[in-house]
Amino acid sequence: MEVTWKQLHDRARTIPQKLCLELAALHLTTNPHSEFVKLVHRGMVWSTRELARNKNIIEGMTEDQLTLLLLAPLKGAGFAAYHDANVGGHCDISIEFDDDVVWLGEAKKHASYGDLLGGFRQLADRYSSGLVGQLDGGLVIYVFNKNAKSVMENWLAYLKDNVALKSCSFDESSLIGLSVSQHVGSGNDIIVCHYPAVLFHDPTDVQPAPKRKGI
Amino acid sequence: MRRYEKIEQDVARLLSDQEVANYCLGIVRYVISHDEQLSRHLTYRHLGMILEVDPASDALQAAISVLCSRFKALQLHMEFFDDQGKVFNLNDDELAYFFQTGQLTHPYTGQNVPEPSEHLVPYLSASKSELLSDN
Repeated sequence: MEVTWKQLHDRARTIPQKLCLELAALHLTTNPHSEFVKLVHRGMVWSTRELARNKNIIEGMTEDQLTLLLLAPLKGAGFAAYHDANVGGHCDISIEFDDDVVWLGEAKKHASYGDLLGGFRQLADRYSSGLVGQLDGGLVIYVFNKNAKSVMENWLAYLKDNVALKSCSFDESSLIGLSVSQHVGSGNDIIVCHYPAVLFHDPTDVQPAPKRKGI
Repeated sequence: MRRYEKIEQDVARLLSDQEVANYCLGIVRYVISHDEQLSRHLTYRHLGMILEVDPASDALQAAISVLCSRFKALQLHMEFFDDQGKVFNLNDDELAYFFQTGQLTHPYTGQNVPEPSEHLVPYLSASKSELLSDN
């Protein structure tokens, strides 16, 4: 018996499995480039959440180790995802669709907003050519601090103060930001998604129970 | 360097998962070492038999996905089997409409097909001459 499209879909239960099927059929969509960017976005959202789910075992990892871990499920889904590829410099993440279309990403452990700004500028000004096919990317922020929501809000406010953005938005439920700015070299709009990986880990259940007052 | 050699090189560079890499290489080698006609219609079941793997396995899906999307060495197509068992090859426009709307119109009667994905059998095609051409 041949395998039907429904059977393949029914077997695909996880997000990477679903992405894998959709990636194979990308050329059959009306706009493969924009569909590719949407698939990468779904993959990045899933992958940053997976990191957060494993926060207890990734403490102490370096930025590079975290990024390799982040990319593993995307590679498993069939994305041509590279770490540290040479794209106008050593870009942390590049996900190729074809020779002309590449999604670029920079990944930073949050230490200061100045560092994050450096990462954003590398992504937007150094790595991206600013030409069609290299105008979508992402900044992945490994947040080991408490209150990732506040970190993301403060980061986007800092970004607005320091970069002439055309627009900037923040989704409170996913904690993902989206900025649009003009690429200095080409004048085209560059769209950057800001993905937090929420990695604060300090379980309170293992702390000694407080003594009751008056005993 | 020929195109298939470049793909083999890039697969080794890209894929850390050896199983997926082996399936990619297995598919490419099958195409270049068999008659061109045999690679015009490769169903998932065919590929499963060639590579001795479950046709719906994750590793095979990933290999197909990367060969279709990044390397453009495979192309996905679909055949439509109607309730009478007649087979219709769907063109890219009909499939684009299906992917956009989730709906499919019977190519002969023009009627809407209920549960279209149950009637669609995907298959892949590859071009031996392209893979053997200079990159």
